[in-house]
Amino acid sequence: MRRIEIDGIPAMVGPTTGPMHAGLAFRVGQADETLARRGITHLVEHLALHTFGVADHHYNGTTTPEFTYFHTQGTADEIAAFLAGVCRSLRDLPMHRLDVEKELLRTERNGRQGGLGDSMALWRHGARDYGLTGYPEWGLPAIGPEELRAWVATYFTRGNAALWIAADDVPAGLTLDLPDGPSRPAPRPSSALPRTPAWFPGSSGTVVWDAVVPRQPASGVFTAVLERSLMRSLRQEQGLSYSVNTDYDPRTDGTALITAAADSLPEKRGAVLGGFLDVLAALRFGQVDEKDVATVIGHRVDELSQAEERGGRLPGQALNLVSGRPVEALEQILAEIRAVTPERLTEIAGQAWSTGLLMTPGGRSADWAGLAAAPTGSHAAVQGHAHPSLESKGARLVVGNDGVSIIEDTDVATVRFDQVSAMLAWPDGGRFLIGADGITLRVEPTLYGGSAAAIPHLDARVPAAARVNQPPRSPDNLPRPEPQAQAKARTGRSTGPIIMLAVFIPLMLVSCLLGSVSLITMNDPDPDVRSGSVFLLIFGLALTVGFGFGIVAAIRRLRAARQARRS
Amino acid sequence: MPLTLETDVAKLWPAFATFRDALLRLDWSAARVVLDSVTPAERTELITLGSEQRLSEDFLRGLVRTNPDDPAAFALLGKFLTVTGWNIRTAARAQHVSKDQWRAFYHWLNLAEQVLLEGAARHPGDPAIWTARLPSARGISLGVDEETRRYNRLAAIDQHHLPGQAHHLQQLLPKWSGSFELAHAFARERTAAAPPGYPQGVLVAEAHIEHVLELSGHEQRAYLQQAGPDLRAAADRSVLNPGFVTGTYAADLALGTFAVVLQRFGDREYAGRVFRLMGNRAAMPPWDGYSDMPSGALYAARAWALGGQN
Repeated sequence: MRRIEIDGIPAMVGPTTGPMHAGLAFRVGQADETLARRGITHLVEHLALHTFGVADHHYNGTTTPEFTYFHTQGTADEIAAFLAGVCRSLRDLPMHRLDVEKELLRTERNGRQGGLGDSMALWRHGARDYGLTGYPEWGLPAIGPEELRAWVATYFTRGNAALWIAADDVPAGLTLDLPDGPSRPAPRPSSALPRTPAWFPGSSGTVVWDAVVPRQPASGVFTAVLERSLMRSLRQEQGLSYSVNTDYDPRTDGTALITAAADSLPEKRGAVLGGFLDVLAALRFGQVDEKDVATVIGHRVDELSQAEERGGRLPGQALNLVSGRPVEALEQILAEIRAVTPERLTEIAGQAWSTGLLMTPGGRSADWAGLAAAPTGSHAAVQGHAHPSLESKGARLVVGNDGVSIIEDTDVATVRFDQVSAMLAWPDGGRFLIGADGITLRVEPTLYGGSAAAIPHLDARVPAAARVNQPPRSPDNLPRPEPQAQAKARTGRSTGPIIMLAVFIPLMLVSCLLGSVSLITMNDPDPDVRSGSVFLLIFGLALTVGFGFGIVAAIRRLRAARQARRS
Repeated sequence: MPLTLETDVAKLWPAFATFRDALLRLDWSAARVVLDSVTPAERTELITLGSEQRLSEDFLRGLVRTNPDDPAAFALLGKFLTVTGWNIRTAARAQHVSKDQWRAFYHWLNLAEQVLLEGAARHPGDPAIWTARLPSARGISLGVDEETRRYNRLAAIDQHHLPGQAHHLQQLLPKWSGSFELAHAFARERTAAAPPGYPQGVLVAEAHIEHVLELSGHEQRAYLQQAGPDLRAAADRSVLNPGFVTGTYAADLALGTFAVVLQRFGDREYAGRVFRLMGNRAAMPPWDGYSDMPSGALYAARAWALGGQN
């Protein structure tokens, strides 16, 4: 494996025992977007690949939170033609395809990236940077050719790119013609969690936990040991879970996100939560199984050595180049992995616990285990004109000069105008506001007395860049007040999609697992650099996207309703 | 037979007196000596009784901090925090507990849960810790499934751990989201699984008395008749079995429970046999839960059962 430069672009080149493969990576991804332009990077990726049509060789594009890359497998000539073609397309995107590609993205709805932890991202970060992976590609309708060109000019440049080639030599005649531009560091991850460890109520039978740890080989080993511990305890010994998964996702800021999930039957949700927390506790209080550690280290060393032979470590190293991180030599990584001790894993387990976020199964609480409830509402309401709810006595919409609030009993949801991540706007006056912290408000003139008059006021104050116009809704689909309906009925409306969540999350987990196994053809799992998670987990995602956001929004509303009933 | 019954737990169980006194003078080493000298079930029982004393939370927290390798310290602190919460909640049915009581109850039980979470993580094979995790789970409604998971972990360590079985039986009752079918089945199954002469038959007796108390007068009569043979069979297998060892506090508790239930069933013959086995020893907890005047109830039941033949 050696580092060279091709047309001013840093590249990692190394031999492979398998088919020749190569890829071109840019340091741009969903985390760089805004919610109101969510999907723009993916759209660029699709447009850039359009010219290849139905090629004979394998090629694909991938958009992750931090990177976008185009990769292919074929002969030297095919690779050279593909990479040059991508650069040519990026310089001159086929804008005549814009509407068709948008439609494709909308239809396929495969724009969401991630896997186990999409709603985790939303709850951890809010509706910004690393939280955006939890949202649909809402920006698509608002994205025009000018915006696309500006996005490409900012991010798809020579200074923000890196290349890998798994071959003995660089394909003859390879040229990469990209515009100049500076490197673009990834944004700092923001937080929507005032305190960690934290929890929020999920509604399926799956418990999901994620945590931020230092990006280092020991953290990858910890993730694999955690999976073995969960599998042994929850599945083999206690029969509570069928499917247990973990993911290790390194980030450019020197941290890595660990995600772990375990499913359960409806009657075992409390037990799977308790059993899951017991496993986390055991690891952080020193009960790390030495045999597990030895086994995992053995596997990792084998995987990495084999990956090196196939050129499977090259993509990860190219991503290191484009994000300004040092290239990692195999020997050094192997030495670090071999040096991992159970004591070190106990330390990492402690760090992981303190930064953790837990999605509980079936709406259960986790405060008993010492976790803080993630915010489901806002601290304060704005001052302004109040419009009474036509459905629920005492509930009201308040539109002020600083923002909008909905108040019901003690529950307050506020989106300030200077914190609007996106506002979806329907011609009938319906507005859906998403604040940077992930709090959402549905402003429906049909549901709050006199609120139609407040819509122009609201529209004037929400920044234009945050607005995304929506196609007209059929009059039949407009919400109608149900004055007799009490909280129960409203909650009932929300539980429809939540029940779907219960069905699809386990399905998604299994699919993602399958996807990550079957799709990693070129890039073997590399514990420190890139795991399989960088590849699109198409199967799981296609299933999730159809329902995903509605559920998240519903969960938040449901949570509020439950709290109101409990008190 | 003597007319005065010994009901003082400190007299009935000298080890308890030693343990309690050591705790009250903050002498953990001496307390540990006692805990290390008894059976696992007695150790759990001692920790429970100890947690009901006027202990200092600071002292117990210090113990856990300085002795993280000592499972008994975690069990005692966890149990103490749980008891503190239950004392605020009181044993009243949920609808008679005030909002403030609930808040304090959850506060203390959550603290207990966190101590016991760490304790179980550090000492996964300790039966006292897993036993302590049962009433805390039940109190804050973690669900029958989670409580059962914890009971199963306990059973994997000690399948005849009566203090834990008694807690699990409570969770299986309808008042804690179980059913009488579940509770009876568990009681019978654990009684049958225990060797003859083990006290596990009290689980059957407890399930029956809990059931009877939920029935109306008319239903009660039918129930007493129908369940009588089952109760006798449980007594025969446990406290009335020749292998049953008397003279321990655990035996006193088992006999007392049977005495209470047999008396309620009107089974004078079996009650008489149980009282004769008790001799002049009488543990009060079974009577405490049965009457506002437990001492009076005890003597009255005894007089009835023995038909005036002291």
